[in-house]
Amino acid sequence: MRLRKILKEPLLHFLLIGVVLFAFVTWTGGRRGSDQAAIVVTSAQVELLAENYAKAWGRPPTQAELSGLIDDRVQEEVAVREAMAAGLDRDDTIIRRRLRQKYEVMAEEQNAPAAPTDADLSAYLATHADRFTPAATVSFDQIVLDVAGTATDGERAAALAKAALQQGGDPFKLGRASMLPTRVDSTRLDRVAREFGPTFAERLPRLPTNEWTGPVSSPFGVHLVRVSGYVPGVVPPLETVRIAVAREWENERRVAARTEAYRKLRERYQVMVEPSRASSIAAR
Amino acid sequence: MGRFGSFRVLHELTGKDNAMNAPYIRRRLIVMLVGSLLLPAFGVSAQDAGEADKAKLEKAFPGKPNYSPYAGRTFPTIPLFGDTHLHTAFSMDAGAFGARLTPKDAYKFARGEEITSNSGQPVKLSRPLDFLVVADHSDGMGFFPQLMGGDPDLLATPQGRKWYDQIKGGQGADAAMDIIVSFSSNKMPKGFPIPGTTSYRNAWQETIKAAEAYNEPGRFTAFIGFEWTAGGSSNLHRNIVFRGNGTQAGLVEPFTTLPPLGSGDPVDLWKWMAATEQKTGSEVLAIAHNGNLSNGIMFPMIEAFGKKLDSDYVQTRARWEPLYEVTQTKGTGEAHPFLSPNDEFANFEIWDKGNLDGTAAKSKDMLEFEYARAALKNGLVLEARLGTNPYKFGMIGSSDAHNGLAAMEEDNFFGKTAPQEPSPERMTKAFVDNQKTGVKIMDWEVSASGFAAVWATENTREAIFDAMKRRETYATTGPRMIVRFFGGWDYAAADASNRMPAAIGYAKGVPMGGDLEKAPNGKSPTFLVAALKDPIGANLDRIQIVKGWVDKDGKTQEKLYDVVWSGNRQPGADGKLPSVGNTVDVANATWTNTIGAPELITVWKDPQFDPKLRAFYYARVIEIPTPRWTAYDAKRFGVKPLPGTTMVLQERAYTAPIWYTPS
Repeated sequence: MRLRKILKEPLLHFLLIGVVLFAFVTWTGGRRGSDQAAIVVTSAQVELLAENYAKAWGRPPTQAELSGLIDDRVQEEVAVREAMAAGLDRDDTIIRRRLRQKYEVMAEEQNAPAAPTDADLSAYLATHADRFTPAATVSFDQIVLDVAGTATDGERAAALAKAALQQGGDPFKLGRASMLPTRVDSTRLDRVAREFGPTFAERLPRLPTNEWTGPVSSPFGVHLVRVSGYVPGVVPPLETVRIAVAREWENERRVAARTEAYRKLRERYQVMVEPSRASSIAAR
Repeated sequence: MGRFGSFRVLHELTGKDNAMNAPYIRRRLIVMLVGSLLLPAFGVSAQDAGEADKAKLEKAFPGKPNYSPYAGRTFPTIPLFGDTHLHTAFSMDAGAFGARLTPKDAYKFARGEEITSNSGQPVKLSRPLDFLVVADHSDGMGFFPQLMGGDPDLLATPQGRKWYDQIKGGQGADAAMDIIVSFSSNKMPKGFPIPGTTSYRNAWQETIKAAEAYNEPGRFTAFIGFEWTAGGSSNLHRNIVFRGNGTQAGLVEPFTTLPPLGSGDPVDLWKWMAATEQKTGSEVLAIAHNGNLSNGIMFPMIEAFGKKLDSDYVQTRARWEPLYEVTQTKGTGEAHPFLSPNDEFANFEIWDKGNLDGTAAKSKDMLEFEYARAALKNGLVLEARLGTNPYKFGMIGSSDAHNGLAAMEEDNFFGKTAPQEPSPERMTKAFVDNQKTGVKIMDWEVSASGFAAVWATENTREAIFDAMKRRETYATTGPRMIVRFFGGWDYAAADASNRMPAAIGYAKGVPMGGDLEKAPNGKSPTFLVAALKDPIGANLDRIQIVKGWVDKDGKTQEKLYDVVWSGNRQPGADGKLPSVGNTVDVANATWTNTIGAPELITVWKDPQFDPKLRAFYYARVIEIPTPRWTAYDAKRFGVKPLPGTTMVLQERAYTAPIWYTPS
């Protein structure tokens, strides 16, 4: 009974495995007849050292310089092995940070989306149509009315101008001169908003076509407007926006892959955070 | 006629809404047509262009104008707004200040998308920008990602280790200032990324990749570029912009300032630029900035780097530097009150306490070699002496933000660096504080400025770059007012009431950035100038024309003219126009457009023109007073500003000059 319990003890298993390993290492080490560990500087590593030197200094290293680089490399290797053996890599913020960075890059690459197929892109375009659909375009003529004052003044000026137009008046002699274009041809609504202000642009799609309407106000004054064409934005065929769709698709997949990889790993851990009242924590 | 003097432009002017100008246009047209027809008779046969007969010419230049006055219009109709000077986490100082946004994020934001700022706040522009140059510092490009990644070479140095610990310990701003100072004094640690190393190449390739991914001809232009940050503590910085694409830019690595690979002498930068054009087939240009922090060396008159200025220097500088960034977060450098005591608007967002890092204080004698207006004047002197004007530049504004966010609107200002993103503390901290020199600049002095406006024919790398080269640009301190400025000999008052001022402008003269020569007998230059307010911004106070010239004794002179203004104000006995007033409610950070005008236009003639003297003219457009970003902060965070904090400003635009050169 007692023996059975002892035999089930993990510590015992651990010790036994340790003894076996120790015996094996001693035996193989003994067979090699040396207690020295090997450091091999491969020819590829030597070439890399020389190459980096040449890039930094604009000329290849001399033999003496190269052997200096190799010595340094060996010294680094020795120090790293000894430091790791002594556990100096643990609890070092820089090493932890670097490991995390490497691991995350690796995880992202492993989960990196394969090149998107046409079907992927079409589906993405369909679900994010608004992002790729160009703004509606509009064509119109406009007159800036000469009004200074209240909204009623605007109504009156618009009525007068409309009456003048009905009697065959020249639209471009009415109102006042302005830098604003009198005619705008097939221009995206957001561009119109950039020039005439957003409130003006928003009204255009709702105005009747081929008819002088007003008053329509803008930050520059009161206008009479004749819309001659309005083409709403339509979802473009994939071919014309492929680059943009692929770019957004890839961005989104990368972010998703990173988050997903972390989520999966995180499931393996149970996290407990101890409460703290350190004075270094801000009150809010 | 300028370069837009095409017959098509002339034709559209004969349309009915330009009836009053028709006789003039027809006369010009006839002269030019007759001239063309006579060419073969004078033995200048058009061999290269094929046989010229009357029928062909008539077809090419039809006598009857198009019905549509807009058909065949070739000049730019709307300005494109952008930023040529934005840093991301790839810039070593930006990274140290806490920037995490990359070039990709920067382009996304500039295109008008909402993103999350470095401090975790959602941020979006009121309207998209049309173009952006991510201009990270060439020295140590990618340094920060390398440092934060714990690059062993870098961390083996005491400096690298110290910065790493500082940043990790939440003292990023201290680390950033220390990095700037170390860099300025050429004391960067071993392992610092230099061209040729893998980390450097990666950073440059990432920058190129981001620009290529977000460049969308016709909608948004993502330029490839970098900043060459020379001059140590005295700012000689320049931004380099590529006209070409990623394949071309990828053939070179940016020019740095640290020897032996780089150099801090602009002459060497220009050599690199020439070699780069050769090697890549892509044109490049350089835009200098912050002369105001150069302590007297941005615009030299006698010598530069121990070498006397010669015709070589002035020609090369003029060749590569068509623009100057006159306004940005580190102050506005158009004019200084000391240099222009009669200019009541000169005292605007001035940074004149010292050099870049505050290690040397400023003295008054330096100012003349730092400010744009003085340089434009001195350029005329150098032109007389050496044959070329090295300071013949157009003006632009840009952000120089170090957080990847070109957010320069007063009510949407995301600061110059990551720690200056909106927070209750940002108005009260010091930006530079050097106890030895006494130079102290507060964060509230950082300016929410500015943008570059470019009159390009379309939104592409090529068209915008070409417009920059011909200097058809203006600077704004943030708002997007539309500004036209033309010079010629024949503008008449009626041109200001024309329904298509731009068409008249291009037909009868040259646009901003252009040249006037050969003054017709007895004539003075005339200017057609017009401005439309930002449609979501404030009304306009006035337009001024700044004239600079060299008098007959070789002395530089300047004079300011108010040429058109809002309301019925009359200049007083002293010639001064009364103030437009002020509607700003500082406590609530609001204002109204009940004063000022939405639009101003006029034709102005130089009343004191002497055809024998070199001169330049540029326009300055002034808005009515509006709340400064500090007022929005005080209101939104409920914080009390420090005494002396500027809370109200008059935003403005500066056009590229038009130069007059006597024959």
